[in-house]
Amino acid sequence: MYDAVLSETVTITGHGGDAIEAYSARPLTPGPLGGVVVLHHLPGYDRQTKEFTRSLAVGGFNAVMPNLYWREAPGADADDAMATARAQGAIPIADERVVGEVEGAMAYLNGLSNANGKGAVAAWREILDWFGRYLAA
Amino acid sequence: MCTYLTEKIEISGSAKGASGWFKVTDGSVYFDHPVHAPYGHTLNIDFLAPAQGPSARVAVELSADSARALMKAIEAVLESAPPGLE
Repeated sequence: MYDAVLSETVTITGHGGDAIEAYSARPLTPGPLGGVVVLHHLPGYDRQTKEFTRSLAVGGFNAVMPNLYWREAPGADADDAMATARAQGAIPIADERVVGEVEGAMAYLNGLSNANGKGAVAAWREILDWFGRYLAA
Repeated sequence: MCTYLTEKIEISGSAKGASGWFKVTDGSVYFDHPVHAPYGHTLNIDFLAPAQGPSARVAVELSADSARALMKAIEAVLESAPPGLE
């Protein structure tokens, strides 16, 4: 079985049509494959969450994780970006903005040549609880 | 759980970071998950200079007991300082 995976930093179109950074990991197979949008945990877009994103690709999914702190701190270390977002009152992140980032990430996944058009969102529990409350409201 | 509990303050002073001393203008105090300290939750303080970018930050993550001891120590030192020095 061919098991190569490509993981890389990409730019996606997020909330409001803005370009934001994201981490993409996808199997180099023709598919068709489902997609997963990963919402990183509060400490940020860091090594552990990138590793989780890669693990989804190893498991046979196209995965992408938008950097939810990109707007506050583009290019910063994950912990500094978190601190900057917190200092600006952006934690929790504006709910509608997260929805926009997820929509953009899903569009990125559906645009991949090996996508099957189906998608899901994976998130750390606190983020998922908060996001779920927003969607249910 | 993530508490998101944050107090933000304006401060005046200096802090020493990886690239040397810099003036700090803002502080964040929060009780939430640490990045490095081996606890589930810590009292975290960020000394910040937002005008110099996200990396202009000196951060500490303290156990709750350590944070309380720090508060007492700060208060004791300030109270015992000779008047007129502030």
